Amino acid sequence: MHSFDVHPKVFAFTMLLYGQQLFLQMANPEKDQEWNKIQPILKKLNEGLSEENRIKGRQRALAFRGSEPPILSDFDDVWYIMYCISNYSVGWVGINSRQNKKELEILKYALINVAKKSNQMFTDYRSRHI
Amino acid sequence: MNYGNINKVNNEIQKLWAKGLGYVASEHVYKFKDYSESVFDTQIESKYWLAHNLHSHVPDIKHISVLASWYGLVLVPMLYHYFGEINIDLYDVDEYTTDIADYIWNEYPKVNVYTKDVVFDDIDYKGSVLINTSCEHMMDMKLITNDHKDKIFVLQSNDNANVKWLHINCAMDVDELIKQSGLTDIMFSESKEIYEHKRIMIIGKHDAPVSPPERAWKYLMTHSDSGRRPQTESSEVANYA
Repeated sequence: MHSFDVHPKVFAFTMLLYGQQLFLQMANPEKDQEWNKIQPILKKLNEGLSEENRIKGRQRALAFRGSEPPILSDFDDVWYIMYCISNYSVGWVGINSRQNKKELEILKYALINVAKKSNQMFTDYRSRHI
Repeated sequence: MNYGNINKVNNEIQKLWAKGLGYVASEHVYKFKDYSESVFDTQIESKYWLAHNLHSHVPDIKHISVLASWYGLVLVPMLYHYFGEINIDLYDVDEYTTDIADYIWNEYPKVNVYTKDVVFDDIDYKGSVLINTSCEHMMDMKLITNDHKDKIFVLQSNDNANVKWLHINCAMDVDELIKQSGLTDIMFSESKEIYEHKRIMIIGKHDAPVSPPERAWKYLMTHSDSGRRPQTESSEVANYA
């Protein structure tokens, strides 16, 4: 029976790609200040990856219809989108139009990258659309 | 790889990773890349391979020591899946890694974390089974297995010699890993391709030590015709005694 989980590749690639881009784009060159922009973002990511958000994200993903891409509004949506990518054929991830934070823009592109990669290995990702 | 039968373990790994992320963010930001690599699917596949085969060959284990354990994020949940909540000791040389691991496992009373150099420190391992999945990072394991002849060893290495400064002692095949290990009683040996590289695993121990008289007696028995007194040259016996 098909289980509805976040695929280990989706989870690991999302975190690794996001981390890489975050450190590349937001590291501060000043001595002893290297992480002052990154640290609060990782804390927000940590809060977004709470068990509560995981349960909610799974429920939302079960109701995902696939006619529109999943939308990233803040870090609370990370579980939801990883569930969608793991279990459906997701070609794109949108971002809430009121959202202009750079760290979320980076996260959006990391998720899109993972979604595209997951489509290359369609059967491995057990998409419902095959 | 089919993750169907270990989905629960994967969920636990992701939950533990998310827990540790909070500590990485506040105390060890620079470790984030290293931390995110610790749950890669290659890790999951190779640790699943290990736990599954260890359980098939040595099903009753109460205490395991893990050498060069990193955070133990994948291995500990895999071992718990197969063996239940047994005692697991994690040893790593990097104090920042063990600080993060300490935090991750702070609600697991049977998981202990130690900052130790498994190559140079003299360690009194409590586990009956010693696991090292990073043999390619250190000297030949026979220098460790020879000091712990009463233990069962589970060793993994790989043939990826392109990781500069880190993969200093790769094994090209099972035979090479067995040779590096010095183990003589091999219960399991196999290699598998993971992302274009060969990952190799052996499970084994040293043969039980045999006293000289026992060895001589064994020699006589194996070189004699049944029902007849062995016709053995005394010098041959002398050689084996």
